[in-house]
Amino acid sequence: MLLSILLQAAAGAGLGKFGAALGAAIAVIGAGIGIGKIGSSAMEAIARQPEASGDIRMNMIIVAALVEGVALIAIIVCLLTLFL
Amino acid sequence: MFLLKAKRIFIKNMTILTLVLSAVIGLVYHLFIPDKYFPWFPAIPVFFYLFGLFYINMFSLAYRLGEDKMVPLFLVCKGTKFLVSVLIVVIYCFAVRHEILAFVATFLVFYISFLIFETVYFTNIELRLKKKKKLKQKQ
Repeated sequence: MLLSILLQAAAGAGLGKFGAALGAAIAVIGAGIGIGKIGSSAMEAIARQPEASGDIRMNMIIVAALVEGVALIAIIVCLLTLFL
Repeated sequence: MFLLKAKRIFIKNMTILTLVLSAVIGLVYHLFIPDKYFPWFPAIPVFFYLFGLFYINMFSLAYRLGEDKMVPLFLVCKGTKFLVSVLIVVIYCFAVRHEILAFVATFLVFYISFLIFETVYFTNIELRLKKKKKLKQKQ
């Protein structure tokens, strides 16, 4: 009984929208950390082995694309939750 | 010469990809879910095509500036595309509000297809540049 009242109150307060915004924020933070880690590791690796810079850059492009795709999907899912 | 050839191949492949994707998705809407079709559908392929042209022009600019500038510029272009895409989806959701799910799904399909295409293309370019460098070192 109490739980259902609490849930109704939460729904009325727009907590669903808050959750969607929070989800989007977490997704973007995750993507930011991911891309930052890729960048820093790649720079470190290039500094250590300049002769392997081509391979490192290539792998960096691929991983950055993956992170970007995942981040966009996460943001769009959160937007859909907000609008539908 | 290398730059001109790379540009030509990119534009040719991108045109084919845009046409095929638009035709396939348009057909799916026409045949299976005609009630979900939205009037802004043609704007999506146009947006990705224009962004592709922007990409390749930035790439040629980076190549002229120096090969080491290519990856940072590529990542900047990627970031810009990501932000502009999110902005477009948000604006559509707020301003148009018509068939949001269909618009977002179509946009996502285009985005991921172009992302794969661009990543494969620029990875191949890196590979070719690496081979070119090795050949130069041998000579």
